[in-house]
Amino acid sequence: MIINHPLLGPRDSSEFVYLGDACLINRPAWVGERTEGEDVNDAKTAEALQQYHDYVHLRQNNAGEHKELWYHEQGDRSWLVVTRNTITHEIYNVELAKDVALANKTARATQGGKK
Amino acid sequence: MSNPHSNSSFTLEAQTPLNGFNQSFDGIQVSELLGHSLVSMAMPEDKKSALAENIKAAYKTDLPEVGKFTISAIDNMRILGLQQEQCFVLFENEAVYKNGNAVSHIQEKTKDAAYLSDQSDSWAMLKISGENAISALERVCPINLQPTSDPSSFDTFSVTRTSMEYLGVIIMQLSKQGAENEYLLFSPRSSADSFLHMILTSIENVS
Repeated sequence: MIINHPLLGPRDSSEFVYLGDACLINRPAWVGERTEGEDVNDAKTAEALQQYHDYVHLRQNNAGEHKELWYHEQGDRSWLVVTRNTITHEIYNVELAKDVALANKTARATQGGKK
Repeated sequence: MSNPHSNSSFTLEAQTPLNGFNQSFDGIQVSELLGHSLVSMAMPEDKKSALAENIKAAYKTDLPEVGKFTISAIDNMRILGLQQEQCFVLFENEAVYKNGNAVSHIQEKTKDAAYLSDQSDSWAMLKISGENAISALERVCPINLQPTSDPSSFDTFSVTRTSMEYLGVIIMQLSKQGAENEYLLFSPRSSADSFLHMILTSIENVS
């Protein structure tokens, strides 16, 4: 399988390490990050705990298009988000995980600003 | 009573990782790269522009893109763009095995805009050249070394980490002009003999 690295061009998948679902980029705020003096037993805390539980334990197991994290260990040590078909192994898109994370952060900030 | 070791007639000399290996094959020359220093230069995001300016002022060259290297006539220096946050700096320095001054040499130029560590003693460095060099390399290297029209193809001024057989290797292409077809390979010193064996076996298979 060839992964078309955004900076280095086509590289053999043997240079990469597979981590898993790219949803790991979107780490929810941990309950311990609450501000001092806040009640830690309220509904907001319960929701944060549930979100963190889902983040750690729940994964989609798509038969088809799937976004995954790959690490270019024998290369430029970058993290990539690879959009791949898990049935055919066809790769649709490859992005730097750093760019995806920054785009997500900007999108969240924009959404927050609209509220 | 005098110390019997104080007047020893023995002197210690540093050995290079490949003991100065140098051999010619049919259309391929292989030799250990000697008299060079290698310094890792980690680049903090907020100091990258300052570092680029300092490098430009001292060496009259730019920081490279990832996958490329830039050159300077000063110290015959090359900056290897291995990843977004890190470069290696390769330069001629005969004094490296005597004084271990590789970091201070670069630090004067970068002016604390990067984190530096001396890697000179940690890598086996091999130069492989000749018209058949590419034939030997393409049996063990997963990078496409053949020229293509793709702008990301591996060509002169290209450098990258990769794996050859089971060994981590940095490969850089110095020139691709017929008989001068020339590459530098770097692999960790701890497996230097395996690295050389891998290259020589590949050469045997194409000779």
